[in-house]
This record gives sequence, C-alpha cells and structure tokens, in this order.
Amino acid sequence: MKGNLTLEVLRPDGRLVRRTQQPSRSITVGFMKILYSSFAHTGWARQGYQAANLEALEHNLFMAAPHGRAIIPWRRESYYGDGWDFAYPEFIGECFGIQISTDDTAVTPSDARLPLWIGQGRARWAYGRRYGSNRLYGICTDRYQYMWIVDDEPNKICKHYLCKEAVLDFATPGTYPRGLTYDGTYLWHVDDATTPVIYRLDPNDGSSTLNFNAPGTEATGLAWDFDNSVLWHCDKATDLIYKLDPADGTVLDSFAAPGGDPCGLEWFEGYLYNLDKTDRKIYKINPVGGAVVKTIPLPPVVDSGATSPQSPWGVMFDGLVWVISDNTSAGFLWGLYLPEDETEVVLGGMEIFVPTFSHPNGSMVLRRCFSNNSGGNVTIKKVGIHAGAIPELAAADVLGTPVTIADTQVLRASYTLGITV
Amino acid sequence: MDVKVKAEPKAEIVKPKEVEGTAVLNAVLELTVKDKDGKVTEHRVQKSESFLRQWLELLYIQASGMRWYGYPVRDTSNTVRQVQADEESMRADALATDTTYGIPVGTGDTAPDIDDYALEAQIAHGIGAGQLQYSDMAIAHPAFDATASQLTVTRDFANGSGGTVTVYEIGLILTMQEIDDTTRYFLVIRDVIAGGIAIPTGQTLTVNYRIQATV
Repeated sequence: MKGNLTLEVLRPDGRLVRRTQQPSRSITVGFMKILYSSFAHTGWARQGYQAANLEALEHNLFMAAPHGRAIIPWRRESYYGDGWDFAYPEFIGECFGIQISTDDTAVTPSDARLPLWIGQGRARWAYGRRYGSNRLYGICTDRYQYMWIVDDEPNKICKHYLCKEAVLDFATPGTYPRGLTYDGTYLWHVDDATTPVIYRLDPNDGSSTLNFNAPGTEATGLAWDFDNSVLWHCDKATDLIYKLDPADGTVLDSFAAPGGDPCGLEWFEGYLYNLDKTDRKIYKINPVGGAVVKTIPLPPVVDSGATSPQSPWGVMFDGLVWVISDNTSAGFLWGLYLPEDETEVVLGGMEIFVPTFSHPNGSMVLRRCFSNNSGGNVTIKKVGIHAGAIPELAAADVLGTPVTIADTQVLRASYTLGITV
Repeated sequence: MDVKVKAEPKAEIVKPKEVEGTAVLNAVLELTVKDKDGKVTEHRVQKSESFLRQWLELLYIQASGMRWYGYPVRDTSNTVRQVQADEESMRADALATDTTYGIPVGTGDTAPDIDDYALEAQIAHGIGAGQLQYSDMAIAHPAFDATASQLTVTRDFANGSGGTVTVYEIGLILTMQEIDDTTRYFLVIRDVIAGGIAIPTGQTLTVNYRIQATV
C-alpha cells in the first residue's frame, strides 16, 4: 500500500497559492497496535491503557474528527480495573484525524503523538485516576513524556506517562507533601510541615540532594522558571508568590497572589500560572510585578465532582492541555481544554472519501483544512494522523520543504492511500 | 493421521530484502514447512503486494466510524453486505478448525486481482484427501525498532491427509459486522505462491503474514 501526502495552500477565496506533494512512508507502531487490537480482538496493550478495555475497539481507527470548534470542555469516562479509573477523549477535533505541527524532528516508529501540534484549543483529553483514597497535590511534567504527581495518601511522588499509567513511585521526604516542579534534571518539592521545607530530589529514587526552609508557613505550589533558572513558590498563609534562589532559598522577589487561596503553580513561556482553589481560577501572572494578564476559570461543580474538580489544587501544562489535580479523596486528575480565544489555527472537519477503484488500482483520500487566524505566518514542518478512540499517532511525515501559511490562508492536507494488485 | 498443530506468535522485526521499497505499508509472506521433528524442509519469503479492495473499504469504514447505516462491501460468499464499524471489526483471531477467517490456504493459482473476494479454491479443514488442519491464529504484539514496525499474524496447517497437499494461494480474511450485527467475512489480502508449496503428509506449513512499515 502506497501513501502520498499533498499540501495545498489556498487563499481565503479558495484560489491555490502553491501545492507540494511527497511520498508518505511513516506509518508508526501506533497503526500496528490499532491493527493488532482489531486482529486479536483485545484492548490496547500499550502504556496507560488496560488491555481489557474493549470499549476502544469500536473506534480503533476512528479519525473522523469534526470541526475544531466542537470542543467539549470536560469529559470523563471511567473504566474500573486494577484500581484505575481512565478517561478517553470525547471526539473533539483536536484529538483525531490529520494534524499539523511545527516540529521537524525525524519520525520514529515508536512516536506516540505528533509533538507541538497546532490546533484550536489544543484540546486533548480529560483524565481521571483513583486508587484507594488518594489526595493529589503538586503535579508537574517534562512536557514530553512523563509527569509526576504528589499523593499525600500514602505520601508518595508517582511518576506517570503523561496522563497515563504510573511507572515509578517513591516516598516523599516529609509527611505533608504539597508542591512539585521539574527543572529538567531534578524534581523540586515542598513539604508543608510546621516549618515547610523545599527539597531538590533525584527523580529516579526521590533522594534529597539539597534542601532549605521555605519562606512562609503554609507552603503550596512550586514552579521552575526555565528562562531565569529560579524557583517560584506560593504560600497560603502569607498569600505571597516568592521568587527564590534555588541554591539556598533566598527570596529574590515576592508579590501578592491574585486570589486568597493560592495552591498550584506553573511556569510556561515566560508567565506564571497560579491555581486558586477557592476562586476556582487559574491566574496567568506576569512574573515581573505580579500583574494578572489573564484569568482562566474552572468549570463549576455541578454534580458533586463527577464532572469537574471539587477541590482543585495542582496545575500543570503539558503543552497541549492543562491538567488539574484534585485533593479530594477521589484522587482525580482533570484535563482542562483552553478556551477558544487561544485559537491560532482553526481545524476543519476531517474528510474521509469513499475509496475509488480503477482496475487494478484503488485509493482512498483523507483530507483536512487548517485556517490560519493567528495574525501572522505559521510554518508547518510535520503532518500526521491521530487515530483511535484513544488517540494514537498512526502516521507522521516530516515535510521535505516546510510549508508556510500566511495569515487568513488555508492549508489543505490530503493523505492518499493507494493499492495496486 | 491427526496432527496437532499450534501456531506460535512471533514478535520480532524481520527485514527481508523483499520488504524494501517506497510503500507506506508492506506485507511479507513467510512460508515454512517442517517435518514431524521440527526440521525445516522448506522456507520461502516473498513480498505480498495483494491488498485487495476490501482492505481499503474496511479501512474506510473504520476510519469513518461508520455505524448503523453501513457501507457496501463484498464478502467471501460473493454477497455485498452493508458493513459497519463496531467492536467486532477486523478480527483475525480464528480458532483451530475455523476456516471462515484468519489465514486460509487454497489450491487456486490464478493471479490475484484487486476484486478478488475469496480464495479461488480454499482447502478445507480436516484429515481427508487434499485437506489440512487449521490451527488457532496467532497474532503477535506489534514489534518495532528504530526504523520499522511490524505486525505478524501466523497460522499452522498440518497435513494429516496421508498424501502431499500443495498450497498455491494464501489470504487473510477479517470479520466485520453487518448493520444487523451479523458477522461477515472479508478477504483483504490474497497471494499466489509461484509453483506452489508442497506439504508432505505428516508435515506442517507455517504461514506468517508480516505487515510492516518503515519510516
């Protein structure tokens, strides 16, 4: 079976600006796993999903994504087994079908998703997790493959594949574990004991390589600032957000937290994000002076926590979706899809054309349009397909020549699959 | 002579030269005949280029998530069925003696055609003259390395007929369900073996279809 990828840049009036075509060769092991699940009639036996999850089979190759605006803000589906409570995405446009990316790294068979993919809302999935009566606090990620979660029942830091299964856990150094962040090498963790202590931990075994006292008395969030290599920290008692020297905890700066109940803290692309548990908001904060530049509200609790966090605490952004930890005894994690005003590129609905045959050939076309509303140029370097009820990267191709879409222009990406007997 | 057969799944990357090419997805057919002591008496590898129209049609149905209204596809009985995507889609996990799906073998030697919907002359399960004993299908977990990924499906065919049986054609049949939830069977690959491959009585043919992609 042969594959071809055609990219066409169109003006808003539909006139063709340019057209490129290249062979598509990069089917991933994800596609093989999709076939395997069907052929063997078994669930997904890959990281994070129960092998017995037959619910996924019906939609194993599903890629008929609707228009990108079809975002469902919150969604949780539960599958109980081995104490796990999984979620899989509602069929939102960002999850399925053809996707585009600014990433240009070579495709490998084991790639599980398209990195840096572009899409309205950047939505992916909501996620629930529970075993026992866990209470989840700090959460952080390497923004690539793993995330870590602080669980104070039983005082552990758990390493997970992103929004998937746990791969490692170790005991926290104290008994009131709270905030957590990752600096690319070490985990930083604060324990809210009588005198809160900030620890630098080896992510492999949790051993402490450095520690110093936190500045306040009711320690909560931690965030690593990759621009300045400093530590940000918030405290509920003082209601301050602190900038700390990671060498010894010296306070370099501080300002008032926007709400009265600062908990989770995250740093992303030059801004701090502080989750306020009482306000049920994530505040985007300018780290110079502490001005709030944006507020992201969390959905209200409408049915005792079954559809939104009862007690949101930690916050992390994995580059695609905000993940909120819930410190109720349910031990839930929640995915938060960004609101529509985050839009840069609007995804059209997937078009899956009926196969056509002209003896001895047959072909099928998968197509999707992407409208650039960003106000500037967007350059695409990789195109791929996410398929399945649990989206899996089924194919991806690095473009021989990157394709730039000017503001208001449309990219039409078409995969043609062909057979000849 | 009743010969017990049990196909063993193999999860490994195999890169025969036949796989090389520019296709986005290849299939390789590996045939091994062994005697009763497990000694290999014949081994062949050939490139399979015979994905049939039903393959694309099934992918289309699955990719579309087509449900309730279905899409017309011709099944192995030469009947067009309105097929939908559901949890029974594209199964290949046939049990021993079940010749309706999984890997079947036959004696037809007409060149594959994109419109083939069944083997030309499928060999029945049994120990009678001209028959072979079909094992369970074995489906290995996908394997991959730095450049390739692969899915292997395997079936053994034991010859307890008392005479030599020669296989000329091999295929892959998958299940789908009609919109009334009746399971139907669809041939998605058919390959013809040049000159056939003879299985003397008491010996076993192992068929591996390796579906492979190389980045």
